[in-house]
Amino acid sequence: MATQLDLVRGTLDMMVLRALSWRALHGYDIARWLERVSDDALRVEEGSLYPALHRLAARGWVTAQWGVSENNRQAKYYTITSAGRKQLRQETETWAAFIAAVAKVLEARPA
Amino acid sequence: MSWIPDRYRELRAMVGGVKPERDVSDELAHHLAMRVAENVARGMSPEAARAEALERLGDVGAYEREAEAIDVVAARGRRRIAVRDALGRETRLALRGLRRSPGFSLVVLATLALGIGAATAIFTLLDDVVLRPLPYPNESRLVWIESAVSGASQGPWQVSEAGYFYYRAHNTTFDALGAYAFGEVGVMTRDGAESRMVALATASMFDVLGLRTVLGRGIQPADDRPGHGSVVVLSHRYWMNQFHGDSTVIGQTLRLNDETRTIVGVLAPGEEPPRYYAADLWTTLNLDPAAPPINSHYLRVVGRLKRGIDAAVAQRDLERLTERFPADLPGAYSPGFMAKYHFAASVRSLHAAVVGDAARGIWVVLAAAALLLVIACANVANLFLVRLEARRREVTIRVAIGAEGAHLAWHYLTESLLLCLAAGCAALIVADVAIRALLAFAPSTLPRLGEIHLGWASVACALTLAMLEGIAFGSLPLVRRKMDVATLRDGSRGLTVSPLRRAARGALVVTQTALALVLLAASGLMVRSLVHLHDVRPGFDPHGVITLDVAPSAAHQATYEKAAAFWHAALDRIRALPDVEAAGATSALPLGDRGSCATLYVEAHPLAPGEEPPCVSKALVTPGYFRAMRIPLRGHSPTWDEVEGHAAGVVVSGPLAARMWPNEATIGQGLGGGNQPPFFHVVGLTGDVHVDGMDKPPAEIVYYPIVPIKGRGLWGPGGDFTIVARARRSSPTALVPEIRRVLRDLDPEAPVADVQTMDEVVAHSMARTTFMMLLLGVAAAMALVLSAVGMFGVLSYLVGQRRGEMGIRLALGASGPQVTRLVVWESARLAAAGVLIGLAGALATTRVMQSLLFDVSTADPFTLGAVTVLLLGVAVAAAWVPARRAARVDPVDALRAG
Repeated sequence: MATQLDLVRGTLDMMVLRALSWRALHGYDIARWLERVSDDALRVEEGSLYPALHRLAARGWVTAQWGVSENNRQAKYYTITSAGRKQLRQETETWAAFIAAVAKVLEARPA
Repeated sequence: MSWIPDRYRELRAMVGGVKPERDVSDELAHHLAMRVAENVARGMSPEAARAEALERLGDVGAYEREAEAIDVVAARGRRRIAVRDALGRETRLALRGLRRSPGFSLVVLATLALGIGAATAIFTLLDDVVLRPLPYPNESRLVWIESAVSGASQGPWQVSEAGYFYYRAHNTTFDALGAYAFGEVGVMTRDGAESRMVALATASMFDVLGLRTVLGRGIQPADDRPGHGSVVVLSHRYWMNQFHGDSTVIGQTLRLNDETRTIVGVLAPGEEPPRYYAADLWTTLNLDPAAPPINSHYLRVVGRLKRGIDAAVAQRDLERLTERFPADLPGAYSPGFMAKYHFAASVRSLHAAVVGDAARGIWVVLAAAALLLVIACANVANLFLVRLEARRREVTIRVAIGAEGAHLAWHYLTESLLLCLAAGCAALIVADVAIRALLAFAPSTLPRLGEIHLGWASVACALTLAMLEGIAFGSLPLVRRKMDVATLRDGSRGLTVSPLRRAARGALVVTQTALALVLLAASGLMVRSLVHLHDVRPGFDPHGVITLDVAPSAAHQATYEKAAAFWHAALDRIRALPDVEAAGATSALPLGDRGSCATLYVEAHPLAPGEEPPCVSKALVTPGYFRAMRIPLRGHSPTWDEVEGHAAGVVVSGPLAARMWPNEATIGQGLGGGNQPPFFHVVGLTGDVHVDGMDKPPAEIVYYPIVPIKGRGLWGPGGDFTIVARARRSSPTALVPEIRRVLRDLDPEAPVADVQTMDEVVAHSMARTTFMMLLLGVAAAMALVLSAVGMFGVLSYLVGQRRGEMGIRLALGASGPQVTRLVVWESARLAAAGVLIGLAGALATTRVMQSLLFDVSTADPFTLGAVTVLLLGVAVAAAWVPARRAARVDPVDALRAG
């Protein structure tokens, strides 16, 4: 059964950056990718991707360009910048450290 | 100039509002369409597909707004950074350019700071004194009312009590009328009596002027009843000085001239009578509307017009009323009097009355400052041109290797703006210093002195001027021909300067010289006026004389005999002081401001029926006065024995005698203030004495004794007198403590005021002319220096450019002196052209100064000749150094380098 985690905003940003780390994508691509890789476990309201993308653009982590999508529609493609890659690396490390710490706590034995 | 649209767009993007790109909705639409298509492909009905897609998206509107808001904030941030970067970049570049030529930068900065600073200081003076409304509410509706007279008497008179009440009762154009007068009163303090200026006002005056109090109340109608007043209102200044701002002062009493008055209020700071003096205290006039009319015009009247009425309409209204004076006020105004003096009402705006003569002088000085600024700008323009010239090769090379002309021009503009704005800031400091100096030297007769200060208007003036100049100088490169490689070729080998460029430089120098000549002529005329004023023989000898105003206490003014006894004793004791050569007293010091006139009847020439007697200056004098002032006398002046025996005669001045008794002996003639015998008899005759001012003709004056002859009255007994004492050897001011001691012994309550030497009184009477001369003189001196520098600069430049030519001349056998002459001749030619234009300009413009001059024609040949010679001399002198340099050019060097 799919658990629906309440996504923290920063987490969403991190995942979007990750999605863009291989190639330029438009918003719908990102939604699809998120759906696929999380096995639909992380259900986000897809609209919330767009403020996230604009936020990343304002910080200079991604750049945007209008282009033509696979089925000949106008779509805005987002590309990660080198600053964005650096940010992604940092956040991934922080996240891993956080998860490890939480896991330790959850697996701890009674004192 | 294709760079302009580019830069413009850049600028607009920086300054204009931020428009978010409206593409979030497109993105969301794309997303929706993709999802719907996929759902349909999976077999959903189109409706269900769309509903599912929308559900997955969530609140589309909210997400769209959120994303747009993020874009707007981001765009603002980017713009801020862009503006900061652009400003920083251009400033850094400009600073680097300026630092590379510190001499140029400093000279431009100093020249413009002086020019703009002087202009700003004078503009501030004009703004605060002339342009700004007076500090009264409803200022635009306030008018000054006088009695216009012409014929036998000079200038307008004030208004009589009867006239004031008549206007008040019958006018149809005024909301309110108020009247005031000035007096000096002795105020008793712990340290003895002090003389203070008091404004005596009607209660309505407080209403008309809208005077505000910080404590208590102003004078109200209940205070201003006929008879004696009992209240006093303090000025803020007096309250701070004497009571140190004590708020319990209301209800306390003050002794003024032996009367006790209750303090009912303290005025707000800066509340003053509109004209003539600042008042320490305000009391009531207590006029009686029922009093019989008297033909005496001493009330200063201010009116507040009804809304929508202008001064001309009010003037007609009061003229109509004045015509009824003989019918309605027969005791004071006979038809003969009205006809003889063309007696009429005069109404003009209070602002015009207060600012008055000062406006013309200040406009003239402002014009001078503007000319000075133009001269300074001509110098700076020259410097910029020379700098541009020097950079020409550098610039051409840059352009040739691909620099955009646009960026170079933009760079020049920033550089110039930066320099000029810095000069504008420095100019504010110059202006501040200049205004302090102005205030220190300004004559006290300049109206509204207290309101002059460097304010926002001054700052705006300085920065606007700086900005305009920055743009003008920065645009100079644009008007020049397009720079291309051809210039490089031409510039490197040219032996002479292009005629056009030479003409432009020449024009700058000619303009400068012409303007400098106008300024020099104006200040020269003021100098000549002042010299003429100093040359006027006053008719007395002011050196070594001290004067003190004294108001004896009431006991010494009770009768003529008591007044005479007091003055006899006081003057005897003063004369007995070891360093006093002579001493006397008078009711009206020459060149002072207490002069007044009185009707004069002459025994030998009875008036025809209906003829009115003339009003002639008068002064009461004690024995010793003429000796102390060294006024030469034919006949004799009355002695104390004659005065105390009610047998004293009068002394008259030469011009009066010439008018009254042209063909008869003056001594022994009878005259008096009344038509009936007994008459005073003339016992002495003075020469010409300047009483009303050094620039006025010698006065027609009668010197009466301080005690009337038997059977006659006089304007007394008593009143304020001025002691004049001549020092034997010492400085006259050294006498003051001893004279004060004598007075304190005789009358401890007598206030002493206005202690000044007679030399100071004379200087004070010339203060306005001196001040004008000072201002114009400073402007002219600066103009002379600036145009000399300009001439020097241009000639140095020309000589530098013509090195090759000079070299050829020398190589072909010209002698050094011949080359020197050539350059000096060039300078003289330019200066002569400037002088000719300047002379025409001076003749055309100095006419506006006519009323400021004394005994000098605006076309005074001596002045114009002198300034012409001076300017030509300076031009030749400025040419000397460059000319010598030209003569020393080494032909071989010059030709090789050229």
